[in-house]
Amino acid sequence: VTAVCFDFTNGFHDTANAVATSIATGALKPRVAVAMSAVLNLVGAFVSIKVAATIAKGIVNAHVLAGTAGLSLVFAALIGAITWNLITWYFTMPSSSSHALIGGVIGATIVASSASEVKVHGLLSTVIFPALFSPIICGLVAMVGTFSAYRLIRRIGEKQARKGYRYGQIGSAALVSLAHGTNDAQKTMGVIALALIAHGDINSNHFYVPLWVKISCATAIALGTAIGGWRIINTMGNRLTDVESPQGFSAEAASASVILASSYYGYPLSTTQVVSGGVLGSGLGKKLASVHWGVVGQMATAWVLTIPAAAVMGGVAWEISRIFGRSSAAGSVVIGFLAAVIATMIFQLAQRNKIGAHDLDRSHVTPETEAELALGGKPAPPVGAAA
Amino acid sequence: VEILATPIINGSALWKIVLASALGGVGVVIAFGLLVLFVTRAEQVRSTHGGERILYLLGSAVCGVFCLAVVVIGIYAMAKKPASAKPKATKATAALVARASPRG
Repeated sequence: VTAVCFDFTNGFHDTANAVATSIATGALKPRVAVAMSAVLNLVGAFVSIKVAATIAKGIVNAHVLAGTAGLSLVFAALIGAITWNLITWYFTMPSSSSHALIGGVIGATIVASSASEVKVHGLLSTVIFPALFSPIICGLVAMVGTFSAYRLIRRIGEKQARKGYRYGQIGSAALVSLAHGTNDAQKTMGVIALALIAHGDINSNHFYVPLWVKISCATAIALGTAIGGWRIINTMGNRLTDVESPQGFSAEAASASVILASSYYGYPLSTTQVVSGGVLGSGLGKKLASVHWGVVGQMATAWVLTIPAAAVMGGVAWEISRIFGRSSAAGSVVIGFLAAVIATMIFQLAQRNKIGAHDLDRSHVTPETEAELALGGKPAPPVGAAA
Repeated sequence: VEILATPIINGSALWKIVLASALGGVGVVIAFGLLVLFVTRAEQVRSTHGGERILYLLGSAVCGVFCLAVVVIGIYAMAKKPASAKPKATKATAALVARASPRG
């Protein structure tokens, strides 16, 4: 249940990945974009289980997660990941849910056993290294794509080109949503599979993800997506750089390409980091575009902090749980209750500077007005820019 | 020791990821831009240059097919990952089963 809750937070935290730029350019209405993304995330979750297999294996030594003590550890890890997801959501920072999950597993494992149980090689090759290369590759691809798009615009004409790229954005956002579903829903499937292996329901020699796990994860991520993380959509679409439709299309095309290619080779990368890299690259690819480096710096800090912070939270959750016994269900109930209290507090705090779909609706910006803005007009200030 | 024994980076996979990303990311943006360009030009010469219009429409069709092909390949790659088969058993997982599963 907690893993499915994590998938839910992943859905509303990471919805921004796929549709932020489409909303920012007005190509799609916020609610339409999020609904489309939810459906495609649902579909994507059924496509393949390659990443699920990678997450379930390779980060920590398998024997640490064996038995009921292992289940408690996975539970503590999920609590750590959910808490960090909610904290970054409150601060409107698009951090990686995947890294939060991995951090939670690592922290709980270190506290429960020792640091030697963490597979450093697995961590470096499947987490840290992809985290470093994926935003850079996506950023470069998006930068070249954006540069090329604006070169073409000179020949096409401002209005026609922008109109065309806005239509293109609908397709590219759909593809990123689908790719997000194939990548992120599977991570939680991996965690549930991990718990089922620990419980003995799945034989790890014959690893597979049961259908009910797939359905649960796909539904949770779709529901989370449907509710929509407007706070992070605002950061991704409006606060990193001023996105126009050619930039949005380039960023999404680059993101989809990197996610699909990496996913094909089994790298469980962070879609958040990839898309952020794409948005940043699209800002750099346009002449005289403004990249808000302060926001980029805050986001990079959140990325760096994610694994250690989630590890600390996972470790603390495990310590609290252990007070009631290593294999005790009471400990899990207590940390689950504490996490629910923290989540409620964060939601209450977030109501003070609430950002909703109506705040982000830019569907009134037509290709004509976008062209006028590009030729010398001044864009509207982003929501929460002063925050 | 573990880090030194096996490579952290799969250079071959990384190279393929870069190549596929560049082809998909940049290629689609350019092809889509050309599609819009050709369609726009075809509209402009609709009533005056019939032959030229057909050429523009052909060009736009080629670009459209390229974009569509990239999308289809992407979806196919998602669905048919070569390594998505069940992973091989290892000593570590066998040990896990031995400890965790009394059901065998």
